[in-house]
Amino acid sequence: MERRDFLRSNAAMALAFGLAPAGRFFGSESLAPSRRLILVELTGGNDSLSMIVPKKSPLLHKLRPTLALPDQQLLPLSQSLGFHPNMPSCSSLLKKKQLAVINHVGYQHPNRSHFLSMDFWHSGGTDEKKLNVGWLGKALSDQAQKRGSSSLSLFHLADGPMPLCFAGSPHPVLSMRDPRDLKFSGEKDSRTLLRALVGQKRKKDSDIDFLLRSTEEALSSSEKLEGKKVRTDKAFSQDAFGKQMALVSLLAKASPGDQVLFTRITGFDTHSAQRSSQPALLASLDRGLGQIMKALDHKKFGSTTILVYSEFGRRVQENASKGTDHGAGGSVLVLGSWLKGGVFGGNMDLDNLLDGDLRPKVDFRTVYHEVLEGSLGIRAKHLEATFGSKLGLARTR
Amino acid sequence: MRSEKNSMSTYSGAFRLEEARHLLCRGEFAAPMNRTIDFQSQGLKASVEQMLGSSGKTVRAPSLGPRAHRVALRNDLTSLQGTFLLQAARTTHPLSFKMALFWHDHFACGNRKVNDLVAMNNQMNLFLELGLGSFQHLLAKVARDPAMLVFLDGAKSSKEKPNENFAREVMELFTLGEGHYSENDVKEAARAFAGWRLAQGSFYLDKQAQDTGNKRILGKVGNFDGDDVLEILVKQKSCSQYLARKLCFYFLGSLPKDNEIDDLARVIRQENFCFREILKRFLSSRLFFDDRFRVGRIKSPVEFVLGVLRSLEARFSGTQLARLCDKMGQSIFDPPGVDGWPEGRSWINSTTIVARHRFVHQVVAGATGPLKCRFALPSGKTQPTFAFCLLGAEVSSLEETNLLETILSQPQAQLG
Repeated sequence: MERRDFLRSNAAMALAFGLAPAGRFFGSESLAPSRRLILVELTGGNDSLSMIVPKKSPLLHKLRPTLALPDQQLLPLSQSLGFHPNMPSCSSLLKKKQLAVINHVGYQHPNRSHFLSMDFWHSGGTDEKKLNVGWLGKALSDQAQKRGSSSLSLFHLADGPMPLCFAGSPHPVLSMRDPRDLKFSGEKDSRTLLRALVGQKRKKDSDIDFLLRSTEEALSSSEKLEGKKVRTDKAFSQDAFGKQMALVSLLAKASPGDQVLFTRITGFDTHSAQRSSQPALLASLDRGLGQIMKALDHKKFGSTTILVYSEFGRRVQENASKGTDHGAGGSVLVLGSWLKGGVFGGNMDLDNLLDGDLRPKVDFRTVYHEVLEGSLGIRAKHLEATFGSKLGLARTR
Repeated sequence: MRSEKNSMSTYSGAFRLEEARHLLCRGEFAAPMNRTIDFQSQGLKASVEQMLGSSGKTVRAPSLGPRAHRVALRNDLTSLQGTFLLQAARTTHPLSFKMALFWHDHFACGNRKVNDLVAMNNQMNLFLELGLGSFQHLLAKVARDPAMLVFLDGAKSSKEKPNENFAREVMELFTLGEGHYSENDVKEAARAFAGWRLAQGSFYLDKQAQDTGNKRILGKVGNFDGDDVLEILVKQKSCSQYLARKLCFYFLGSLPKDNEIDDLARVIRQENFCFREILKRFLSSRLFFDDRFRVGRIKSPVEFVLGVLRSLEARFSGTQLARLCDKMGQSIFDPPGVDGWPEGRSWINSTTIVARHRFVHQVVAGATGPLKCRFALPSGKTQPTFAFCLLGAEVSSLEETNLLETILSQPQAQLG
């Protein structure tokens, strides 16, 4: 069976996204300070060489005559690297030791298909037959078996289907883009009718069951969120990522307890005219990251960790269309106050490429492993590195 | 060889209201009561022929026509989507629209990158006009279609720096599926497509930018051009199997056993990739009517919306409908990725299920609601049949006052 087909088949989806009982979100106040992990996915394959740029590199300018940025435009990062000019917030967070740049992240035998590579990132493995459980879902399910269930909530705030990384989780996932999305049409009648319907008998995990649980979940969350708006929050930009960050901020305030929130910026598949699209995407990313780190003061709202990743980096040499094709290793950003901060995984090694791409030297599992432990205190055995060494992202106490 | 074991042999079981409904829901968008009763009485063979439009004297190839072109020129995506939905709701060729949506998902191009609604509208017309014809012909047309040349950067590729985007996706997503080609095949195919260009919105071949050297693709060596590559791809056995899986997923909602996929793949090859003939056999097959596939297919937003409106024979306004479909997660002419829309349970989450219920509410609100939906409900006597055609299940208590909303709020309304 083909990978995509398998993922799409209902049996797999039932296994993956069996919904938990409704009404778990926005539950009672928890006493422990809450912790949240925000996942930011850059979909399409972010050209990390334009985000984290090697300085004093004639080779880069030779391979990228139109795309390589001159050193003087770059923002401070390290002696040999600079941030894209549109990333001032990241540059300043790095200075405050709240940001880690990890270069050369990937997995061995890179696959250059968007979907397969993204599925690998989501499943936390490279086994095509094990693409029905997510890296996070498995970690949470193992944790629940060891420690019993906790009050963690999962939120899917991006467009599109449920992210695979959540699959297998014992916790329910609430997906929304705007609190207004959960508003049923005015009349009380339609909700009364639906409330009566969701109580009906059905076979567990059947499609009918799945549909009724989804309706039940929506009914219950819609009441809790009634009257809340994000669009008016002036602390956030009005672009798609800004809106997702505004929603993160609202949820941090409305729903206590630990959270994992999935967000996404699309459009990174820059095969052509990369200069006309990627800079704006990086600017949007940088603004949103800066705004949310500022809004969620950790004394009031507990700790916030952000993980920014993409399915692959892009080819070092630019193509005829002033763009770049699918590559291998890429850079990951981690934000949080528990970090040591700085550059990990070494500088960009342009002299030792793998079929024209940056070589994966840091196992993406290592990143997950350390981020999960640093953010939510979860140790996941299945995410231990299979190659490369540990990073040591956390500040030693 | 067609033995009894062949899942593609003709279905010979009972053809009741239930089977007629199954055929209409899957092959079209809905089973309107009168059409379902007609289908049941005329039997499977005549029904399938009627759906394929091959029994009538003239088969007008449907296209979205001048109105859609005018809307596209205004660069108004919501209106163009509305025009498409209106026509799909009223068409006498629902299967052509069903297949156009299949190809739109298969050869997914999105306006967010193409940024040219005229090109997107022309591409949809290509799917409508050729969607039931030969796959080779459609593939060749799509490969040089302006929207595709922009979407997968084909128009910007040259001999010196071939762009791999189209070369990769034509293998991974359009013909073979992942795992049936190598990275080197992608690189070599990219060379063969170099020089395909766009000028003033039309395809042309830039001989200067062509790469006339030898290429090695899937074990064959020669001075191949783009068309040669497409021919090589369709001749691979994995192509018929890939298309068989996609068809099963689309019409059955899940994948059958490997040997059943092989049966359909064989039919695809026997019929020389002609989709009218392939569908004629598939929609009449034992596999299509197998109990395993009678339930368990969650409708896409467009299928759900069109299903309700066609069942009610309703008249309504288009743009409002387009906005609702977008909220349900499907924006026609703008799929979320190169692999089209995710399917099955992926359609449903807390946001999209609310949007579906909101749509039902607006339909029920009728002419006074924002959808401005007008329809006539059948009289009391036929109501159980009407409900059965909509849901494929009996509804226990039907109250006259809230009849339609009760029916359409059932979870079964999302399946079909």
